[in-house]
Amino acid sequence: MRILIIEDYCPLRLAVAQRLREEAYQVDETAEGIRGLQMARENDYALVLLDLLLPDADGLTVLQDLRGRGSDTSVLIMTARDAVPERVNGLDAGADDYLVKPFSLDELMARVRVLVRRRYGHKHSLLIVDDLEIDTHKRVTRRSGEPIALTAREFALLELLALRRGGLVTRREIWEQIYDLNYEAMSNVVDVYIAHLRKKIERPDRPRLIHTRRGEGYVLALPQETGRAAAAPEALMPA
Amino acid sequence: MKKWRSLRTRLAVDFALLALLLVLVTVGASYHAYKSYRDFDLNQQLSRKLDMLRLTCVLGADGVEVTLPPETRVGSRRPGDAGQWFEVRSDRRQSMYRSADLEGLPSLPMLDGTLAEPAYRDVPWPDGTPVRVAGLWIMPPRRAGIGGEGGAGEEVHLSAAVSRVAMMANLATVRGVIYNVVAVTVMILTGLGAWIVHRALRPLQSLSREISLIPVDGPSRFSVPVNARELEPVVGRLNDLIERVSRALAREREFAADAAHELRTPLAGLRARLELALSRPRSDDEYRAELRSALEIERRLESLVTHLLLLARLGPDSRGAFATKRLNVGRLLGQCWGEFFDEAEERGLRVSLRVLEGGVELCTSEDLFRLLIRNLFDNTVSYTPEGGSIEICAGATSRGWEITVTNTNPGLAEADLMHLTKPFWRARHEEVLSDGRHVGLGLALSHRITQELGGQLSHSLTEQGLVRALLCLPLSQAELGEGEGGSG
Repeated sequence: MRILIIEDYCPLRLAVAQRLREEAYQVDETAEGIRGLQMARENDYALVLLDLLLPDADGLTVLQDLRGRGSDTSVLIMTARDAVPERVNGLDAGADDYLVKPFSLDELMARVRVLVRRRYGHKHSLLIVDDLEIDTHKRVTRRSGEPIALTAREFALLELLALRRGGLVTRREIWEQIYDLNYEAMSNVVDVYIAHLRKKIERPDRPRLIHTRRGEGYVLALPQETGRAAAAPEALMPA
Repeated sequence: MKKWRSLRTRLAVDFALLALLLVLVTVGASYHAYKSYRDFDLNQQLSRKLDMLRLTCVLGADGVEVTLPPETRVGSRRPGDAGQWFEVRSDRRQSMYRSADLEGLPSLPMLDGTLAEPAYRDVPWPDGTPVRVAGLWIMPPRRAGIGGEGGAGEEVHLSAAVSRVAMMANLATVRGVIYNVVAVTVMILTGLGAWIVHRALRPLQSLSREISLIPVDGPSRFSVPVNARELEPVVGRLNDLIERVSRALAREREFAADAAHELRTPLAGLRARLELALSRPRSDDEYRAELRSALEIERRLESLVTHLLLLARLGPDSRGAFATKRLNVGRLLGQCWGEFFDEAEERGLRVSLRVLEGGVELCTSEDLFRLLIRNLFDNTVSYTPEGGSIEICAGATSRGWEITVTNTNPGLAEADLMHLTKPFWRARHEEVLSDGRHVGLGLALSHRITQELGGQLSHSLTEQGLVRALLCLPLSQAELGEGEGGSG
C-alpha cells in the first residue's frame, strides 16, 4: 500500500515513514502542504497522514482542496490540536480519522490498517480466501493452517490482492501501491513477485487462488469466483 | 441582608427619608403658622376685651368707674362662654373692679403692657384650666362734669383673661390630622419613591442582566439600554474592555495552543523514535542513531521550555525586574559573534562586522542584551543560505545605539516580515529544524527583550532584496555626545 506523509517535523516524519516501510508500506513524504497536495493529486495513495500546522498551508485547507477535487483517498490527521471543535472540524473537513500527538506508533499502525481495510470494504484484520488466511495485524499468512513465510513486500502484495478479492488488480496499481515511485525497472518485477507468491501460497491439492488476466493484472479468488468473472468478455487466464 | 445592600433599596430608603424630612418640615412649618395664627387670634380677642374695658372705664368722682355691658355680668353669659374675666386695679395694686366670673379665683397677674402693645402671658387656673392673660396700663378719662383739668388722672391697670381650652383642643385636633396626613403621605411618597427608583434603575438592571449573561468563553457586546444615555460612556467603555480582553484571551489561547503544539510535536517525535527503536531488534549503529535523534529532540524541547519560560517572565510587569549595569557594547558584541564564527565559516558565509565603538556603554541588563544579540546572530547564521553574506554594523547614532544585521534573503517575502516576531511563525520554505536551536521563538523573544530594554526591533528588505534587522536601544544623554567615534 502506498501512503503519503505530510508532516513538517522531520524526526517524527522520518520515524513514522520508517515504521511504515518496515511494515511493507510504500511511503512518500513531504514537509510542505502544497507539495503534499500535488503528490496526492498525482498518485493514488491508499492513505494520507496529514499534519495540520504546516509552514506553507493549513492542513485543513489541503484536506478540503483534496476532497474538493473528488479524491476518496483515506486521510488520517495527526496533529497536536486536541480540542473537540478542532477534531470536529478535521473530521467534518473530510478526514477519516484524527490522532492527537504525541501518539503511539502501534496505535498509528492499527489505525492505518483499519483505514486501508475500510477503503476496500473490509472490517476485520483477518482476510480469508478459501483456506488462505491473511492476518493483517500480526502479519501472518497460513494456508490450510500451515504458516507461510513471506517477505514484507510479498505480504504487502498478497494483502493488496486479498483486499481486492475477486477484483482485478492491475500491474500499474500493484506498481504504485507496492513499489517506490523512483523505481525504474518496472517491466517484469511485478510478474516475478507474483510468481514467488504463487510458489509460496498455492498447493497442488487446493484450488488455485491467484489468477492472471493477461495483459492487465491479477485476481485473487476461488476458481468458481473467477468462473463467474470469466462470463465477462475478458477471460481470466492462469499464468 | 443582601437585598438591603442593593442600590435600589438604598435609594428607596434615602428617598423615603428625604420625603419624610420634607413632609415634616412642611407640615411643621404649617402647624407653626397655624398655631401662631391661633395665638394671634386669641391675643386679638384679649385685645378687644381690653379695648372694651378701657372704653367703659372712666375716672369718676369716687375714683375709677367701670360700666360693663350686661352680657359680661354673672348669669348673663352665652352658653359655652368660658367666662368673663376682667380686673381693674389701681397703680397701688388695689382692685378697683373684678368681673363676676373671677369670684373665687385669684387675682390676674399684672402685666406691664401699654395701649399700643399689651402684654400677654399663659397661666393655669388653680383647677388647671389654661388661660391667657393680657394686661396694660391706661389713664382713664374723667367723667364729664367732674372737676379738675380735663385729660388723664391716675394710672390704672386693666387685666383680662380668656380660656385657651378651645384653642388647645383645636390645635390637638390639627396635630392629630397632621400625624395621620404625615403617615399617609410618607407611605405614599415611599411607595412612589420605590417605583421611581425602580424605574430609574431599570436600565442599570437591564445592563446588569446583560453583563451577567455574557458567555464566559465568547466575545459579546453590550447595547445602551433604552432611555439611558447616561450609561453610554459606561457601555462604550465596557465594550472596549471586553474587546481588549477578548483579543488578549484569543492571543493567549493562540499562544498556548501554539506552545502546546510546539511541545507535543517534538514529544511525538521523541516517542515515535523510541518506539521505533524498540519495535524490533536493531544493530548497534541503528540504536546509536535513534539515541542521537532522541537527544536532538530533547535539546529542542529544552530550548523550547527555556524560551517559553523567558517569554512568560518578560511580561508587562517585568520592567525593571532584571538587574542593569554599564556594559561595554563593543566587547560584548565581539564575544557574542565569537560563538557563531565557526559555524559561519563552515557554511561558507561572507561576514563583515563593523562596530563604531567610541567607548559606548549601555546601562542595561547584560543577560538580556547578550540573549538579544545572540538571537540576532543565531538567526542570521542559521537562515542565511550557504555561501551567502552577512553584514553587521553597530554604533551610536542620534537615535540611540543601533545595530543592523543584513544578510542574504533565505526566501522571505515582504509580507513575511510582519510575522517574523510572532511566536512559532515559520516561513513557507522553512522546515522544522531538528537541531534543537530553532523553536520558532527566537525573534519573538528578541522583540519582547527589546521592549523590555525600551528599544525597537524591525525587519525590512533592502533594494537588493537582502533581509535587514535593525535594533535600536536608547542611550543616556551623557552617551549621546560620545556616539560617533572610531571603527573596530
